[in-house]
Amino acid sequence: MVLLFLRFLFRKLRFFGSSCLSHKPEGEYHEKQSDECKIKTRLQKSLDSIKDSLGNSCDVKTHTFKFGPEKRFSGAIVFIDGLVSSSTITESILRPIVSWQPIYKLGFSEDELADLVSGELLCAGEVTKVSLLSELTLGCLSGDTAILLDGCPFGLVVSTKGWEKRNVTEPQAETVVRGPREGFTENLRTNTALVRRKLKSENLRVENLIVGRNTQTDICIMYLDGIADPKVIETVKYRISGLDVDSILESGYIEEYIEDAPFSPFATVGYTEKPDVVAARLLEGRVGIVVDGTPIVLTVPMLFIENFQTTEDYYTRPLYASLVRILRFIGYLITVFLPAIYIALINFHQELIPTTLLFTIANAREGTPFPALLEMMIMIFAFEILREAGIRLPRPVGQAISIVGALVMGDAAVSAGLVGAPILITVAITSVAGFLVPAQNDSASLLRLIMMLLASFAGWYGVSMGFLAVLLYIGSLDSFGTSYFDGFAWSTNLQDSIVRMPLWSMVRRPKDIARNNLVRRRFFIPPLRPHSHDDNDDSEREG
Amino acid sequence: MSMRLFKKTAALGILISILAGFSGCWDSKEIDTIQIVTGVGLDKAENDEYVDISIQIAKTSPSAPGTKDSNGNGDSKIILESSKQTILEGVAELNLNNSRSPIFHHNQVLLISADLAKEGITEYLDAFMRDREARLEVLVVIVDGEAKEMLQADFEQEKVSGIFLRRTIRLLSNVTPEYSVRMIDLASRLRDESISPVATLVRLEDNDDKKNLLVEGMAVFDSEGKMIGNIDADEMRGYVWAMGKVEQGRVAVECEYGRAAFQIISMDCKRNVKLNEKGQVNVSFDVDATLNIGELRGFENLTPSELISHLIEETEGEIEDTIKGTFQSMQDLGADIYGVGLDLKRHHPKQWDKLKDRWEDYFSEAELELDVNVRIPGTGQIKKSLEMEDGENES
Repeated sequence: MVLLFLRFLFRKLRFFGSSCLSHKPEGEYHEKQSDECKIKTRLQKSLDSIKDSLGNSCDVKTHTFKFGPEKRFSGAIVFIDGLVSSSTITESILRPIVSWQPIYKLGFSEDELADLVSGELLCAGEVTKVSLLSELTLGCLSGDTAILLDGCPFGLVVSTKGWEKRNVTEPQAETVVRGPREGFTENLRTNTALVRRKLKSENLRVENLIVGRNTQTDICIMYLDGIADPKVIETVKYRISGLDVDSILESGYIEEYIEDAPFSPFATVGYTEKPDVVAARLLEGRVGIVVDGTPIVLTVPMLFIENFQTTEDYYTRPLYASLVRILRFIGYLITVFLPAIYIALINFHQELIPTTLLFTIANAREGTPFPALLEMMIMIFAFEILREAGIRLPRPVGQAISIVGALVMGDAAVSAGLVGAPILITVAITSVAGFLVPAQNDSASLLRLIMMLLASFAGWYGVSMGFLAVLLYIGSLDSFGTSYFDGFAWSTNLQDSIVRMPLWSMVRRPKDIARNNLVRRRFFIPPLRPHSHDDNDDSEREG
Repeated sequence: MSMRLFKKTAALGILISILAGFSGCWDSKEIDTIQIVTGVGLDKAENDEYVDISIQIAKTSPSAPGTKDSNGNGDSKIILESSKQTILEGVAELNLNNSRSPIFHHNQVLLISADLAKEGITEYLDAFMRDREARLEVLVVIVDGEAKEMLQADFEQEKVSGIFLRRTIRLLSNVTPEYSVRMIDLASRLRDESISPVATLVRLEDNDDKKNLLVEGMAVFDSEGKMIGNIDADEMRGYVWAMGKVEQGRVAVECEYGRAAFQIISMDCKRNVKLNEKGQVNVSFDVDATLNIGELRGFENLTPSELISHLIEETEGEIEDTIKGTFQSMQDLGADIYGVGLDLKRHHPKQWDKLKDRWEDYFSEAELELDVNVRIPGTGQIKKSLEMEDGENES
């Protein structure tokens, strides 16, 4: 009864949370601007209004020039210094236009001139004809170059993006021993290209959205047409396009705005820094969200099991991969429950500890000033502090931190009699086990504290209630229409769950994600044995 | 705040209070506020109404480097004593005058002095069986002498004699499970009139300045829980072998050719109980033993086949004598430690009903038929002793 009630309660709480935060888009903002300024026929007027809207920023460059027969036409280019590649501007815009000498026809209308410039003169890949000043400025702000021609009510936006960007490097957070080492960069196009290089499929779709009033961030939604569930795609598009926010600086912003359970310690949106991971997830029917300006790419829907899957599970052979995956599950359980179990045993259930071990622990506890809970809290906080310090500090200083952490806080605390050695060992195992599942480090640190509190005032009873509550809570979560806990359920295919079966035996995609297109491959194909191949040859020869 | 949210908050509040209310906050004990009891001893008090209780507590001392006691190898246990009419009162008194409360979960042994046991142990077991903390798996050991002295004794291997006793008896029970008598075994035997209770009997041996533990055998109780006698170490073998399922141990024989010692590979005993025409209880033990030659002294003039058949004969006789001897002395005591009555009850319940009131007498008059069968399949890693002659053995 109590459990059912708990489940009910969690669901309700979650719904309440999400209904509070659901955002109703107010779409009038963009339309208001659109009336204001069309591009003027007079060149100088247009330039003035562009200068007006961009202010007097020093990095906005304009350049007017005369061209055509007898230099009778005049035009101007506008761009932002630093965002553009100046060689592209010179080579593909200025040189062809300025050196243009028409030989057959001299009478142009202004309309025709614009078409002629874009169609025949420019040597650029992407030229857009725009009529609104705002579009023109947006083009400039994204690194394109705007061309204005005197007497022509249109502008041309030529793609000249060419800012300084980081190279494709090995990701810091997700390192691998075996597998591709390239990671995403801050450049949207590079990122989509990296995924496309993995998936040379005609079904790979990349759709663009622009979010953020001030940041005007480009966001790409990637999916494999025919595999991804259209409902999920629809939901993602709806949730992102409905956003009316000031800024999107990182994919974390998007994640917070679109996730199903905003107050949950468990992330319901997956993220990765590696193109092969995104490719694999797209192939399972997930949708990727690439945000400009960050190397972190989001994928939805996310299942709880994804925290325990790493790329290397699929690149190493299945037996070892399964062993490591089981280790990860155990590691997660240890990192959440070990301190709580320790406290419960020490404070409530001394009878459950083997006698000799109890003596050892009792000896160690002798003379330590604090109760077990406080001792544990101190050590865990100390560890979290060290970890946080280690992340933020530059590498050479980080080494010093680890020495201070290991020697001073560990050894000295024990020999000074401030904490018992068993507590230190427990904390050490807890924190090291936590690193087995880095994706769930945040939820583990939170749950660990809750479990410790429960254990300290209700013993094993508290820990088991806490465990049940967490289990029910995870079970009640959803991620983009998929139950978060799927992947452990018998109804789904368990080939890639607690153990990883050989790749050739996984003929189906995950049932809950690629709902419409389950069959990866029609047949179960074990690898060919080398001698069976020889046998065939022999029989053919004899025949 | 909407009504629904209010309801949810209220429900959550109720849940949390249930969690807090049903839990045992008051059971929480920091480990440095308890003391771990490793042995309890009961002795006869001067006043007949009273019983002397001594509790052995393993002393905890900080073992962390830098805080080590200078006398680290000093006394590692504390003995608390009190004398009260009931055990509970005695423990309560100990609780009062102490900075730490004793926990009995890890009690290793319950020692009862033989003097006290002779007056009956039933009433003393009661407190330990009722207490939630005390375990029914605790070993019950009868001490020939003072239980308190046993608790105070320092032994070489283990500083804490409670643990020492438990480990010693554990090791003994490798020979046969009969050696380790837990509280629950004793209690169930006490309740059952068809089998007499036994408990391990130990003695403290003074050996210059060193104390030695001596396992003397078993104390035998009557159905009221009074100790009426004991089985000594020699008789113990007869008891153990008759109970069967022996997996370790030695058999030694001496004959005109020399002396031989055997390892027991396995020894099993099938028992059969029936009533003969005269109304007498007829017990037949069917012992099946597999032995391995462990040591030979003498036997120079025998060929291997002669040797083996001779040894079989000798060992069969030895086993038979031993079992018979023990059985006889138990009959004299009138204590059915074998559970012959139990067999009778199981296989012939109607006849048991007639006999059960005077079972001790019937058991004393019972007739024992013994059939011992020994196999000696192996001679160990060598075939003949160094002193044996070559040549004739080859044929």
